[in-house]
Amino acid sequence: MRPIAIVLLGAAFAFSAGDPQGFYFWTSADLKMHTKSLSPKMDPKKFANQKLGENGNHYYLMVHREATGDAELHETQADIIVVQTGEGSLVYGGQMVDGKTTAPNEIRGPGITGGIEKPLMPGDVVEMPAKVPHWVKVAPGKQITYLVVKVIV
Amino acid sequence: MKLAAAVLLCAACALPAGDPAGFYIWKSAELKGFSKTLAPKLNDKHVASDVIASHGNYGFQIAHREGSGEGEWHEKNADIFFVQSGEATLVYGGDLVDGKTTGPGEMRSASIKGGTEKKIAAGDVVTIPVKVAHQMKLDKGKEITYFVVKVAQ
Repeated sequence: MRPIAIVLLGAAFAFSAGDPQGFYFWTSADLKMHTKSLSPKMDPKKFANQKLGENGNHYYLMVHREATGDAELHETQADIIVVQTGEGSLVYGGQMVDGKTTAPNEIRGPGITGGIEKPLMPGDVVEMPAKVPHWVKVAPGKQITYLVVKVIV
Repeated sequence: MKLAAAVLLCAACALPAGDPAGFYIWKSAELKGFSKTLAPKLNDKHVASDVIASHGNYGFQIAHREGSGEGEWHEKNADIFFVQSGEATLVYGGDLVDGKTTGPGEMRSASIKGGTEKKIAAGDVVTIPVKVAHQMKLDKGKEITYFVVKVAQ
């Protein structure tokens, strides 16, 4: 039996060439599930994320927040945000307050002045160009979970 | 009063132009609305699509189908589909049957052989890497409307 099992296992590997590299398929339920799975993984700022995949000059990140986070600015990446669950608001444009470089091409700060604020709800899509400050605010007791396509520009 | 109105109008003109270049937000309802607004614009291949924005190395389209589409192959653009409404079967991988070049880096065919099929529905996300054949097949009486991010690679 054992050799047969090993042969079958080998055959399975050989035959399941699988999906092309960079191909991903996530059902709506797969994506929404991250609302719960990321919640226990939050940092002290009530923020957690998980990389779902990548393909050359872009990658896919799921983000979960249960509180207002840092304002962010990416020098070399555009963010395409697709809200999965929850609600929040997005502040964008204006000037970052007290911005600090936290990694190459990445600036963070405690807030934004002079930005525009808009509500975010499930199904909404946002295109955030590189170099534009943005800040996701979450009201007490609320959460927001969103998929981000990060494109290197 | 007329002078005051004119002054106010000018002041409004002088105010900041609003959103940063390349910034877009599409509300869920707005995206779902394309299912109806594109329906009267279907071509002989049962598809209607609109380019809704582009910025640098990426762009955004909405596609609406009420019948099976052609096999497609893009040499330089990765496609990311966000299904807004309806359902279809996505065929991906394999080879275009008798593929014809229809534009720079673009091939089309009537069908695909050796591909994998997956049912896709509202809320699902699919990423198609460059040079991977793909086709949307629709059952009679069904529609699918999806938001596409195209990333040049």
